[in-house]
Amino acid sequence: MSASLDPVIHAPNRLQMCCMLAAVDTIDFATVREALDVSESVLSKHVKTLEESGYVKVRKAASEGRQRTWLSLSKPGREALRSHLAALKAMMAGVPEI
Amino acid sequence: MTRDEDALRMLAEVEAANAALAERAKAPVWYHPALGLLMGGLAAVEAAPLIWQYAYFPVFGLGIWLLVRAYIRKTGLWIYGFRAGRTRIVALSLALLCGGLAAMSGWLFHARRVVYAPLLTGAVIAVAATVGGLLWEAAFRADLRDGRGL
Repeated sequence: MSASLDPVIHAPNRLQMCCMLAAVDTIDFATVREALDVSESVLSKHVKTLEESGYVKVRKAASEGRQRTWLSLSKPGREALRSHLAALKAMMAGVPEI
Repeated sequence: MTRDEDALRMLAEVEAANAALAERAKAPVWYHPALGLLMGGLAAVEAAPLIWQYAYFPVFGLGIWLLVRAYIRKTGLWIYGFRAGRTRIVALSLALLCGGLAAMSGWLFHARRVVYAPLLTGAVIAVAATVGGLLWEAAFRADLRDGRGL
């Protein structure tokens, strides 16, 4: 069975976000927002979509007097990302080098 | 957007993600030496009276907790040390090295009465853990470049 692009991960910024989550155990919402250079509302929508798909786990924890949101990639999310990247590599195989 | 443009766009996103992480996942400059000292202390304290050995464990635990907190505060993330990729090789090698040194030190101290063994081993472990931590960070950046450990 060939890998195919995942429609949830495919959206701009979501792939970047999933790649970041895949490399770490957990990451702060604010750190992801800074890295992606998007507004809180835009990132919240992405997080909600990924969470509803079961790809991202969201955890809220109090830290130094304020509530922080921590994101981590779930096992299905990791598998979906691997499959998506495999499909991307297959697509790139057909792109000529510049 | 054509299929090729889409692929290039996604590839750029993957590279941007890795670059962002590589830039952020940097421990404070004192982090690895501090961790090294904590680990070295664990070996060195074997030469001390038992009461000091017992007292060191909560100090070690508190030290680790403070280090983890400082790392998370600075970087906004946490990375499991034994994550797949080159990082796992570095972490396992360091764990085996330090564990082996500590075991040898214990044998030298208790069986051979080499009184300076724990202190010397503690110093070696402190240096090894410091260097190992820096190597781990380099391995993490290399993993990000190659996409290993996903």
